[in-house]
Order: sequence, then C-alpha cells, then structure tokens
Amino acid sequence: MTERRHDAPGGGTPSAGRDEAAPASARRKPRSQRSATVAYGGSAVAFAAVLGALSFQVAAGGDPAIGAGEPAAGPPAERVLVRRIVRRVVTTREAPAAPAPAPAPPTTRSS
Amino acid sequence: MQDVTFTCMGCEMRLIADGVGDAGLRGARELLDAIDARLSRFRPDSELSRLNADPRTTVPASPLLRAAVGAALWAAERTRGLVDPTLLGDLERHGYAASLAAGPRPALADAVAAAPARAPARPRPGAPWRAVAIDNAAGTITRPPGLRLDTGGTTKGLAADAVAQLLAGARRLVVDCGGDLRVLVAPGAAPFDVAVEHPLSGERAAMLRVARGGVATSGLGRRLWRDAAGRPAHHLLDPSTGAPAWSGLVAATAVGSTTLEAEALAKAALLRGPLAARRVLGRRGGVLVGDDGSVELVGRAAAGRPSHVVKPAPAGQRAVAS
Repeated sequence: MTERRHDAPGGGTPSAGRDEAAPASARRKPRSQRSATVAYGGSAVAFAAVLGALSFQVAAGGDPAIGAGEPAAGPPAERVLVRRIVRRVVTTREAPAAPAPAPAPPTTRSS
Repeated sequence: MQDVTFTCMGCEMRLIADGVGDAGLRGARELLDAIDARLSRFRPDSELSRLNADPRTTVPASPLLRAAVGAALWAAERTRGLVDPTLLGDLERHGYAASLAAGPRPALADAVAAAPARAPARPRPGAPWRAVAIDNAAGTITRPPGLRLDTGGTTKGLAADAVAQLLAGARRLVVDCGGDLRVLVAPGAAPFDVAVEHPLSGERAAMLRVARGGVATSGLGRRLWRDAAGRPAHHLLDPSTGAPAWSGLVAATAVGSTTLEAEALAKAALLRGPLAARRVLGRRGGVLVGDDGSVELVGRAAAGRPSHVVKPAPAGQRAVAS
C-alpha cells in the first residue's frame, strides 16, 4: 500500500518548512497580522490626532462637551430693602432789596 | 455816609458827610439857618437889612455880619472890583427886589437869543466898595450913609466854608450850598467826583475830581427874569453899567482853595467873558460854558488833572466832557 502524505504546502513540518525553505517574501508577516498592525497603528494615530485636537480645543476654552459655557454666576444677590429718606429743608430768604440807586454826585451849578 | 438835602437861603442845600454824627449835621443846619436869617436881604428883619436901613455911618454889627461883609470886600479885592457888593440899587432897579427862588423864569436859551451885544464887564469907576470898613475890635461896620450892601454874591461860599470848618473832623465831606461846594477829604480817603451841570441842557457838562477846596459855579440860568421892558435880565451885573452883563458866557465853574474864592473867581470869569476867563480861573482851572452851549475845560481840568487831590487819581478817571 502507498502512503500518502499530505504535507502542508511547503512540506515537512511546519517548523522544518519555515527554516528550510521559506523565501524572503515568505518571511513576511502574514496579511492578517499586518492588517492588525495597521489597524492598531492607524487607530493610535487617529486617536492621538483627535486627542491633540481636542486638547487644543479644550485649551482654547471650547470644551465640546459643555460648550463655551456661561459665565460663572455670582452668588445670588442679597435682597436689600433700601428706604430712601428724603428730607426737604425749605429755606425762605428775603429777596434782596433792589439796590438803592447810586446817590447823585455832588453837583455844582449856577446858584 | 450821610446824605442830607434841605432848603435854605432860597436854594437846595446838601450835606454829604462820612464821620459826622447827627449832632454835627444838626449844628450845620442851624448854622446855615442862622446865616440865612441874618444875612438875607429879602428879610426886612435881617441884620443885613437893618444895616442897609441904618442912617448912621458906623453901625454895630455881629461877628457873622462882619464876616459876611468882610468876605464880600475880600471878593471885590480879589476880582479887582468885578464882584462888587454895592450894586444892590442897580439890582433892584432891574427887577431883582424879591427872591426868585420860586416862580417861572424865562428859558436861558431864549434870554441869550434876545440879549444885547456881548461885552466883558468892567469894575465900577471909583470902586465905592472901598469906602466900607470893618472894625472887628469895635464890632462895627462903617460905610457912607445910603451905601447899601449885598453880600448875596459871596454868602453861600462863605456859608459852605463855615460849615466845613464846623465839620472839620469828617473823613469825607461835601457841603453843597445851592451848587457852591466845599470839599474836605481826609488823607487816604477817596476824593469826590463833582459834576458840573450844563446851564442850557441841565445835563452833565464835565466832571472834576476834588479832594479838598471849593468848587463854585456862576451862571445865568437860575436867577433869570424879564425886566419892566420885557428884556431878559439876570443877577450878574456889569459894575461899570449897573446892568446885567452879557459877556458871551452863560456859566463859569471855578476851583479855589475855599468856596468863597471859587465863588468869586467863577463870577469874575463869567463877567470877564471867554477871552479873559481862562486867565481868571488860573492854574486851578475850571469849566466855561459859552452862550452857544460850548464847554471848555480850563487849567487842571483841561489837563485831566484833579484839583487838590490827596492821592493821584487812577488812570482813566480824568476830567471828562460829555
């Protein structure tokens, strides 16, 4: 009877195969593994970019979550009842007398 | 400052006094009343009237009457006979026998227009006033019988001087006897601005700044009437003719060391006429008003310099004609 081996492409044991006959291209990571790396790296870069943008925005006072925000309200105004007391003082002054006409200067005339 | 006006001697009197009490003013009025009572020729019972009616050559006279006659003689001497106290007869003959203080009088402009030709007055020949003598020791006045005296030409000046002497303690004083003024101002006090009335318009003709001395005006405007013939007449007679003098001036204002002197100079200036009046008024000066209404400032008044001023007058307060 014939024994058939079904080797995995590349033959031999997996380890033996890799060691022995793997070309340079074969030594590259597998496609799935590369995709993960790219995904992870891209995600990290995107995260860093978004994080940087958000940091800049927050530093600039534009918090995207809370918006520009309202100015901080002071403590509630204390209600003070002010009673204005108006005191009126009426002063009556006598109108100054009309200035007396200046006396006529001494006058010399024929007598 | 007290300012009192009242009537005496047939004209308006005014006392402007600073530093004089009521008693002083009362005394001044009493003195003026006494002068009027004793020296008025319109009062038959006055001492002057009794002297004129006395047939004796030498007549006892009170100190006041002797002072009044003495002042009249002094004025005659000072004016070389132009202010003559012996013209009473001529004055009455031309219609001035009673007081003219009240009653209508013709307008001066009309009188000037109807007046005869202008001519300067001259002293009376013989100067009868020189025959009058006063003996203060004996208390008498001697004059030829029948020579009547009129002290009216100098009495107001004498009265102003007498009142000023009575109130000599005043800080500032003006004694105004019917337009004849005596001014007295203590050193450091402000002098008085004395207005000169224009005889034709009644407006102010000029302003003189006076600190002490006398200011008097002689003019035709106040004692003016028509004689029996209807001709205009006034009380300033030409001694040489015994008739009213028409010299070309209607008023003359003089400044003197006393009111008596100012009064004598003013009369003499008016009687002499425009040409000689400037010389009569002399260095002290005064104001001349021509019968055409023209006003001329003479002497210090013309130079804008005040008369008898204690302190120099501020700039811009010169004598002005208006």
